[in-house]
Amino acid sequence: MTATLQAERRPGSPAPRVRGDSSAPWLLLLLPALVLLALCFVYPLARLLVASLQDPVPGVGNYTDLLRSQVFRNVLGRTFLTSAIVCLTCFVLGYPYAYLMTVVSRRTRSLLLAVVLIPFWTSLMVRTFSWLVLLQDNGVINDTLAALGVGRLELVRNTTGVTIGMAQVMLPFAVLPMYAVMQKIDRRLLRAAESCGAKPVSAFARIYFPLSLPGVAAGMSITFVVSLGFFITPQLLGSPSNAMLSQLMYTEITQLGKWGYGAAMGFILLATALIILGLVRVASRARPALAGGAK
Amino acid sequence: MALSLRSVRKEYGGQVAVDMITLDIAPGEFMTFLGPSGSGKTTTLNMIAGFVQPSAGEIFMGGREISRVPCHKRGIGMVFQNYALFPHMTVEQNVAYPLKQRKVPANVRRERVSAALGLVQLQGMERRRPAQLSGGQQQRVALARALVYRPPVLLMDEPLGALDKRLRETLQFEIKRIHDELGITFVYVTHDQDEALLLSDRIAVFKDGRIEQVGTAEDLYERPATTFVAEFVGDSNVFHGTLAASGTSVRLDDGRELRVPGCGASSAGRGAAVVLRPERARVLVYGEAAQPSCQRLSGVVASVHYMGSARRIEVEIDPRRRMLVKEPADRPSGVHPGDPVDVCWQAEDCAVILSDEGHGTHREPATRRPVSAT
Amino acid sequence: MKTTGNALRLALAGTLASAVVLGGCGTADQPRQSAGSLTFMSGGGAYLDALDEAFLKPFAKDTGIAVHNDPTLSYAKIKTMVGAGKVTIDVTPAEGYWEIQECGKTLLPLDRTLVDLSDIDPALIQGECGAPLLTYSTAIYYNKEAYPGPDKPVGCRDFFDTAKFPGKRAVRDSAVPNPLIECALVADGVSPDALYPLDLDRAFKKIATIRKDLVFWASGAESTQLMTAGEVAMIHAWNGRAYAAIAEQGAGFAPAYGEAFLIYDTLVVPKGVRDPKAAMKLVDYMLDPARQAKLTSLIPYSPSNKKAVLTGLPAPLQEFLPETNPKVAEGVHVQDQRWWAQNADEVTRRWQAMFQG
Repeated sequence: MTATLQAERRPGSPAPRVRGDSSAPWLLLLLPALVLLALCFVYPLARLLVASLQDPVPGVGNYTDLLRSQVFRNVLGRTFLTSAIVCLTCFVLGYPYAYLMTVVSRRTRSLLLAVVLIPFWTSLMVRTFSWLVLLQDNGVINDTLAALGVGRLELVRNTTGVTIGMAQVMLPFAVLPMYAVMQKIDRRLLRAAESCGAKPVSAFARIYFPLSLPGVAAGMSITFVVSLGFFITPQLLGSPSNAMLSQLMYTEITQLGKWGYGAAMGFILLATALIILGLVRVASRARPALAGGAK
Repeated sequence: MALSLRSVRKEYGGQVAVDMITLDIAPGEFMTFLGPSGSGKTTTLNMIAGFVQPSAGEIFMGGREISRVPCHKRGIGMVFQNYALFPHMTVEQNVAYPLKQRKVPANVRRERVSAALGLVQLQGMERRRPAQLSGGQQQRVALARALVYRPPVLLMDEPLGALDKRLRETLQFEIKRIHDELGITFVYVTHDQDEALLLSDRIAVFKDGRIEQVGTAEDLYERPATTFVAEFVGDSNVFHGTLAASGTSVRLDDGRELRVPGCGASSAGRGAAVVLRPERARVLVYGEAAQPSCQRLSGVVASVHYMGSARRIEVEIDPRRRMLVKEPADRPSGVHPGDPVDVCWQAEDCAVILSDEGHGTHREPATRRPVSAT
Repeated sequence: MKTTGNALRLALAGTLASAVVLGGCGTADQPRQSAGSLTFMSGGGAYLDALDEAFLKPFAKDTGIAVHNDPTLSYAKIKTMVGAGKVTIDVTPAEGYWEIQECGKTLLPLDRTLVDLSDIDPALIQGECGAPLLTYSTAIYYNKEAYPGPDKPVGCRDFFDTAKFPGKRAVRDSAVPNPLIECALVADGVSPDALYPLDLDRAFKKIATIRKDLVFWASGAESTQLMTAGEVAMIHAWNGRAYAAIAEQGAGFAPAYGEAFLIYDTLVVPKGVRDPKAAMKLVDYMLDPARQAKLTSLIPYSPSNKKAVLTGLPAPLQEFLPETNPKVAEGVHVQDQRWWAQNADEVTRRWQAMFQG
């Protein structure tokens, strides 16, 4: 990550070879994971692709129907928009949180880590329902707001509710990669920047933040991709007009038995997600800050 | 004065890191803070840089009190042991960074960056990133970055600590050359006494958060103020005793008397340490004639080490006391371990350190050398 | 090379291990398949507990055929099992419309020589593959605080009259088979006896008039929550859930005794079960009037068997069941699952376009 961790390397000498001859046999160790991936992921995916092109009749009819459907296009767009909003929320909440974790004592850090991981320890259903109770019009939060004279807010059965519920689930996925990168950033660089005449805020923005971007990119990618597949949270905390694609797929496959149609939805989602991630990657390559910080 | 520290003190939760330091550094001076780790030298440097707030005392720069001025407004250059280059910026961007902070126009900036890289002999490396440079090159970039905006004072915190010996020596000369070329004030922190002696106009020796002695390399070597300085700066033979009534000899615990340069009878009875640098003593084969003025102690050679330019000879005077002698390699005495010899020196070559109280309560020196004799 | 050998061995071991794990995945689902046992699939929870107590445990005791539980009910899963020819469940309760859709495709026609439907309410026997097990209805309940005056909402007309009865209305967040469609037509003047085939244009036009006053519940538990928290003025909810909210949790709601729409769960046997006869026997066993009456005492659903005698039910529960409260019975209309089976797709499209698009 930082210069100090870098082994001494003379200019002009070739970069150290990562895949030397001696490491080749160890690549075989990937085989079990690859087999698992092939059988548990690639094969079912291929089956779904076939279903999307075969059921109920062979051809691309499912795809053309979907692309013509206004509802599908709207829900697809909303799925990406919701994921983007959740990403942004997780960044705004998670970045300072991850940063805090790098500056506090070891004990406080464990505590902060535990707090952010708590969502993993409770059932998604229970948690989502708790949000419903907390956020509803007559819920604790609104009662408090009313008592404070702020007035009641519509916090649930809308985008706000969906964002709150999803962001809580996704926060660890955003915080941990950011923390992993941040804790490797040499904080002495901030001192160096200040000694160069940079105000602390400017030093953070121009030095620390660019170096933390690889973590931000990793955290946001995970958050974005995982958010695309949310089902229970938008259903319980949103209204039908917050429906995400997985809810549509659920209806098609389990209620209407239209496998091919549902599978085609999944594939369009997958393809769109891959395109977006690809674009993000290309964009981040173009920015040296993202690539350079990861060295 | 370029820099003045007045009764500067730093405590961390009741632990005193720097205790009442008062020091003046002249414009253009090369001042080195020398001391073992934990002696407070880096903390003092960080207080000058503005990374650390003093608990008490004042720091003046060019006559202005700066202890409450934040780091980025002090306009001091700083070089760190770990280089602290910005890894996501090219060499050029790193060096230009302080100029950008000062809103220097782009064309001037280019010129100044180029000049700074020229100063550290790194032209042609502008587009590289720090990770593509060797440690020595990185430290040159760091130097260029610290100097590019022509600060009146450059602080360096063990800048060569991470480099191997050869590279360190090359860069020592570079630093010395740059100091001569620019004529600005350098404050340099190191725990390497050879480096300190080589580079500095003056050296402040730190111990336990205090300055033991400030002086030129020669002052410290020839006239150490404390036994700590005597032992930390160069090798030395130290004998503890009491100044005799005449003021011209020190009586050791075992009853021997060593003649010393006169200290004046008024100090008679005070504890005194006699410091003798090993290269000022000679080894004489037992019975060999010597000048009558020679101070002599007899012993047996314990070991002989060839060091290239010199031989290090250890002589056991008695089971509790060993002496170290360095003789030029081209004038060998030809002694071997086990040979009975005389160690001989001129009284004028000794330094006497009087302790404040009577003999017996002098501070125990850190026993770094086998010659520590009590 | 030594490292090569080690890596190779490790890699092989890992690959084998993952293959074993995967092989296990495929077979772990079917520990039963011992002769003389059945697997009953349901959604789990309180519903399963009640079925277990009322039917499954007694069946095992009476016949010696053990009944295993699979609490992961999913229509898609059943279809996949049948499609793959690996059916690991024998009997499951399904919604009426789905039974009719899948009858002959995924589900076995009922063996009427083994399953006796003679005492089952004929209005519920709409498909060839299902044996109706129990009924529940979707009715209107109103928030007593929202309407303190003498005028109380009565039925579908009031549910759709936001001028007379302002406030949010909660409905189920699912298109099929949502009786909101029927309710809309009744509100628009269609006689409850002449609803089918449903006029979808007319129904959705009517629903659009209260679109902005609608909130949605996704699960029964959520509908209960809406009532106990007093979040809405009116709700289209299942009678069992309304009972739980009002009688058990003290929600300030009261039933509007107007139109309610009754649906039923029906027992089905998938194609390809190992022993269809045993499965049919279990289905028949679950139609027994006494055992169905027992079920109602455990969970607030009504029996499908006309001869089931509901005695000893707590008074508050009696208020909510058509069998024990004539005022409820008067408003109940059986939803036509045959129509819903044929039009599920169309309703879903329109529903999505209105609410999700």
